[in-house]
Amino acid sequence: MKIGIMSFAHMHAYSYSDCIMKLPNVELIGVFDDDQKRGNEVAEQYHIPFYPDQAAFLSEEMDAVIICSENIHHKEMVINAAKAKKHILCEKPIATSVEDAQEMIDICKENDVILQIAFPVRFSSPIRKLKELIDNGELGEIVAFRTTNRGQNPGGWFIDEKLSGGGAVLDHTVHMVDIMRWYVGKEVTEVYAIVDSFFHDIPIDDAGLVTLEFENGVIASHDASWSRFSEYPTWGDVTIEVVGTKQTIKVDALKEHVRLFSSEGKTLSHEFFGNDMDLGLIQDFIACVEQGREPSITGFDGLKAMQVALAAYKSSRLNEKVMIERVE
Amino acid sequence: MRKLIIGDLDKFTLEVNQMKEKEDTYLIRSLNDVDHLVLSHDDQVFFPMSKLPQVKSVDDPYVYFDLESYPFFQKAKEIITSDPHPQGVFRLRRKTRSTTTNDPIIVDDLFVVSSMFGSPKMVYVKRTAKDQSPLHIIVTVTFNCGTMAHLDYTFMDEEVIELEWSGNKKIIEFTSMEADPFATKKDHTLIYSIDSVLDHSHPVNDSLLKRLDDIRNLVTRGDQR
Repeated sequence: MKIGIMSFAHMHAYSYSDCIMKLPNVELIGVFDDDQKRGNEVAEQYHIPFYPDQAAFLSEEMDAVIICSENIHHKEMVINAAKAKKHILCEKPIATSVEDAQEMIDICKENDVILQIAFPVRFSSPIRKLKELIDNGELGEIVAFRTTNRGQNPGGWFIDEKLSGGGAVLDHTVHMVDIMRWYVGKEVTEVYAIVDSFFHDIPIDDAGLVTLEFENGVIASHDASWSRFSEYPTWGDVTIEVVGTKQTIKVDALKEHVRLFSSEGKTLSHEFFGNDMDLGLIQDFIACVEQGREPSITGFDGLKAMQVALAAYKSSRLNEKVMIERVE
Repeated sequence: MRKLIIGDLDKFTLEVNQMKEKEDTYLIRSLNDVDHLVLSHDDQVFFPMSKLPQVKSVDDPYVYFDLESYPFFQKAKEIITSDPHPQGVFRLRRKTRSTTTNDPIIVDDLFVVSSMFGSPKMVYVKRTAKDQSPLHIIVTVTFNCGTMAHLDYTFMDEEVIELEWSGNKKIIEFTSMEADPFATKKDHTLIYSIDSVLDHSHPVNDSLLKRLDDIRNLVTRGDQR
């Protein structure tokens, strides 16, 4: 299988490329990037051709593309790739508006190409194990969730709203909303949120507390932020606690680590030894393309997760709860 | 002058380096628990907040709050308030056996948390259906200083407290289970010290009752938003 990467603006592009390099029968055939310097650098790093022209890149023979551009460019790249009949793995969030996301989904459907959204947390072993326990009824009915996704300020285009569409709340809400939707199999109907900027002198949000209600009455609290600083032992966290009628279980996707104490630089760091969720995501996408099946994480999943994050901003602005519109 | 602390005896520990004079301090389950107890005007009686309705029976009573009596909370408060204008994200999570109407513990905790961040500006309450077990309540709070907070409660047969603070270049993480110096099933972290209760009790007066009423009203309104 031949895969190309469209833009290395998002740092996950490097991890996805590393994953592709590890896989047999999968070839990274080239990179398109609108940043010529970056494009040349990654071309050299991965020994692949660099295409400064998007149309020329998409005219190459390949099965699929992975899009890791600034959020605002996802729509244009997905539409162009779909029209070029390439299957697509698009970095999250799918887009920066529900209308754009819907158009992307529709065009991929019209062109009969797969649109999968990159939510790698679904491929974390402990997160999958918890899904299994829930599906087996070991927690009983789900009553509530408590989740976190906190990391460091990525800087660059992430803190430029014109390119990102939102700060920490958009960046770090979609993952956990996706996991909660996946676990409970229901949609969020109501969002109340506080969004603010505390930790960095930046013109965009770096903190948010989001309170949710699902259509079946399940409630959830979520902490999304760029509150972790470089001296913190790890880049951040991904946690979920599921309160069930039979039992409550908490999972920390990054818990599998050894504590490394050092007299140089950071005094304590967590060295992760758990499974590589990015690799799981890429393997799943490739299997999906090979088998021509519905992706495990659809464009609709991406749209619904993004819709909740956007509602959080609206709720904070209005200082009241926001109802989520149904999207069929 | 005697000091009479009313409370669950299992919740208290006698610290190795306890500072208060032991001779005049008595820990009792209730005022009715001791035969021939005659209160004098000099006695100071310290009630847990859950016994607030009983305080009318004594002169100049004091009350102490569960959260405020834990040494871990005092340590967290010391760190957080070392910044004169703490701004950030505060999270408190309780699994609690509290079986009263459930709201008192929320009001009590908000009162205690307000000692770090000032008055709450806005409270939003989300709770699971009344017929569902366990009951779970999420309280979202904006304080006047800008700090935001989530207080999560699950009413079940367990006592666990987690506390987190994400502030400017300071992060606090506390979980009662992990801070327990004993690796046994019994939790040795959620216990009070007598010193802490005596140091952090509040005289029951109009000012305290009004502040509690204000918080109770905010929680009630937060339920209706």
